[in-house]
Amino acid sequence: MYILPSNYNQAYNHIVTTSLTHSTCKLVIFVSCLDVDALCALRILAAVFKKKLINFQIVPIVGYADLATHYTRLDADVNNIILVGCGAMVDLESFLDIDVGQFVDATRSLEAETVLKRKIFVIDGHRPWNLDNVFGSAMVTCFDDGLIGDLALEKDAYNFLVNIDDDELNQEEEEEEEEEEEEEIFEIDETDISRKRKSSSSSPQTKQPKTRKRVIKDNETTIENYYGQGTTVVTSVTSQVYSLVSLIGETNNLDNLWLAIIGSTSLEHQYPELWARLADLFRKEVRRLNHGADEERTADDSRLTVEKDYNLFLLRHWSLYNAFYYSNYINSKILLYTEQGKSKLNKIFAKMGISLSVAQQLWIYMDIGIKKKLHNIFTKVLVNQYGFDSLATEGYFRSFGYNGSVSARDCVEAISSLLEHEENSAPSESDDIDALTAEKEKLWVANFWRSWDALTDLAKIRQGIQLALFSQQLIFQVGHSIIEKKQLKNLKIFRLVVLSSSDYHLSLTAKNDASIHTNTAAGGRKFFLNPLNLMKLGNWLLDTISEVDDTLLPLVLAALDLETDTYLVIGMAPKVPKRGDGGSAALLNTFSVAFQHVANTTGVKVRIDSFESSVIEVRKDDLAPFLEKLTLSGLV
Amino acid sequence: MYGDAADKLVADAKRSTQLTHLPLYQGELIQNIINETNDLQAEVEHLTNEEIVSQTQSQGDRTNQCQLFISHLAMRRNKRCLLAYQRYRAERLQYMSWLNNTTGITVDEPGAAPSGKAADSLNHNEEEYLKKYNELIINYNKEFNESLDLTGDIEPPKDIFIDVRVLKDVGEITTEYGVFNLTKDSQFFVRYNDVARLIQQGYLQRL
Repeated sequence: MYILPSNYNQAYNHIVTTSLTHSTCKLVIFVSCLDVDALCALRILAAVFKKKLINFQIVPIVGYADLATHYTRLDADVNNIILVGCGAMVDLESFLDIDVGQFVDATRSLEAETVLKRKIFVIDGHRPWNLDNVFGSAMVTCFDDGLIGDLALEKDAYNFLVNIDDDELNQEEEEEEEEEEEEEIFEIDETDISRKRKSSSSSPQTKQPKTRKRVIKDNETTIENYYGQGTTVVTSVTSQVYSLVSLIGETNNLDNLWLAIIGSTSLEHQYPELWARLADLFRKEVRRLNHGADEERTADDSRLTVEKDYNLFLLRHWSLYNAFYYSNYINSKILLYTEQGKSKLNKIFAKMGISLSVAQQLWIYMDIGIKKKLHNIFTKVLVNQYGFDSLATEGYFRSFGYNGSVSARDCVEAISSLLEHEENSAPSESDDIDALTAEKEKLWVANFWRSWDALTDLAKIRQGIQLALFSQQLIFQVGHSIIEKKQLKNLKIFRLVVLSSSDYHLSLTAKNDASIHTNTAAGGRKFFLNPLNLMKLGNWLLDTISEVDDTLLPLVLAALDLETDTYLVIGMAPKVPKRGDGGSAALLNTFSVAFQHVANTTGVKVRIDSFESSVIEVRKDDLAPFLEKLTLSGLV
Repeated sequence: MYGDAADKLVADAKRSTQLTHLPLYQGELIQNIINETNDLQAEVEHLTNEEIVSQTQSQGDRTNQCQLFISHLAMRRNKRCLLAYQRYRAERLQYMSWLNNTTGITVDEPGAAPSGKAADSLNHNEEEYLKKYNELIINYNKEFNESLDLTGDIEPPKDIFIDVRVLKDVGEITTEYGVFNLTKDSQFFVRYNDVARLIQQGYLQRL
């Protein structure tokens, strides 16, 4: 089942009426753990349910296996389950092993329709949908982003095939005695996101009209094409939740909007077209809520404003020079990893008329006169002379009274750094892979709560920003060395980077900052074993490559975990270089399908657990054969 | 030097006031102090020996008197330090037993997590003390049985519902109205009354 954006409030009303009891917890929210967007969405939801005095439980989950175990542990009287930022791509009913019949509410069911006691709501931006969730299941309700309407073809095909399945299965049973034959049946693999076909042997019986077979075939292709087109994120979870709260009239405070903006901004870098679509809406909302706000600064000022911002990295938290140097955008434009690039940067500063010593001052101590002129300088020099036309953008700023303000972009960097950085990563003695993985996942959950707390705490956000500065430097360092050492290999159908542990020794100057613990630096060894960090590195590489090489090859990154002897492998779709309008559609990520195919067709041991389906783990010895098969499969 | 061990003990007690749990009972250190005190006592006895006293008094030498005085001071100081340490421990135990009253801290009950930790670090006299003190509280509480719960939170609650984060697996708890299943690493929005005790005991963290 799915629910249209204009009817979100019906789902909400259903949840409220069936969960409103003080006796026990009837509402459980599962949330994807390593996801800033989901985190923000959840905070909005939590605030809304709190207002209604509904008891609920929040469970952060790290992957599919975790989801399944937590699901089985639920109390029997849980009525509503909300999945935030996960679940759209698996057939939930069969994956969670749900017997729908168990949850039929006999007291309220009429003959015509059955009423279920338990419902699962999916708010997730990952695509493609699993069609069983959308069209098949009565228990699962998907929050539509307005695009399910476009799936008419797939819907017909799905319905057709589901009916066929039943018929043929019946037939099969009848004919069993006469001769053994296998009809084409769809089988839903529990761990599998896509559907795959069982071995098919054509029936000797020619009675069935051929056209019928062709129709089946056609429909199958339709479905397979839908699943095979690749994965992407089409909408931010926060924007969906925000439209939900606007339907129930909860949009009169800035907090929800701020969270929605942070959540959506977190996807800006990877899915620029998504952000472009939402930015307009947010701008309007900010204007609406700011109407009549005092211009004067007060101690409890919590205004949201839209101001000019730049594609520079955390400009307000260190020096102008560093903000330039560590900006993905500038880096890819002037090829900073080369010597010429570095001298070019100095030249740019000279042209802007800002001396290097001034530029290297901390932003807050920089000459106010220069700051004021900065926008003009940027337009005159950078945009007109160098053609950095997407340097200036719009940014959302939240002020925290006299404590200063922070921009949504900076906030995203801070929160995601908090999610990434493993505090107190003490080396563990156990060498059991499962135990180590569990330990890692436990840290992720702890980080999730840390980030949750930070969302409303400016001091913690600042701490996160320090971490973000650190990780950005690390990413640049590793990125530069990858390019210098030519570790980036262009294969026929994708580019490949393999990081073995020796590649990232840190030579960062230790900062005397209390918020960065020394073990964070020591944890640099493990830094890229967090999918978020590895993805950031991938993004950096893609940005860089897109400026020098026009061929749109996707990227595969693998990082070795010495402790478990596994590689963390991610596949990323290629990027189109940033142009002025920034409005080029992101390419779909086809690795999830390819990874699965390779894992299924070969004996390679692969763990596919992440909600980001193009993130997998491969045993060390299996990496080479895995990549080989991936190349040969031609699926990418 | 006399009194060094006692000084160490007191310093240790002071440090542990910052800790959330009660550290291990310093049995060895205490034994050292007692030994030292016994030595001092032997020395005092030697000095007060009549023979020696008469000998030195006749010579007008007051060294022995001085030494006697110092020994006494050292012994008294050791005693005070020991008492201070024991008092500090006793107060911590009392505090704990007010917090955990219903679960009752006994060593052979591993169920109560924070108290279980403390119970490991108690010496058996302290255990006895804790048990008796618990009994006292329970008996005292009986007088007010239905009208008042002395072990409840002193602060009046501000909200009916609160956010809590589960730090340790609790399993199923029964509340006034129904049953909860508190699983680790999740966050709940629940009635304060239902979980107040669990917060006190350190299973849950209030946000």
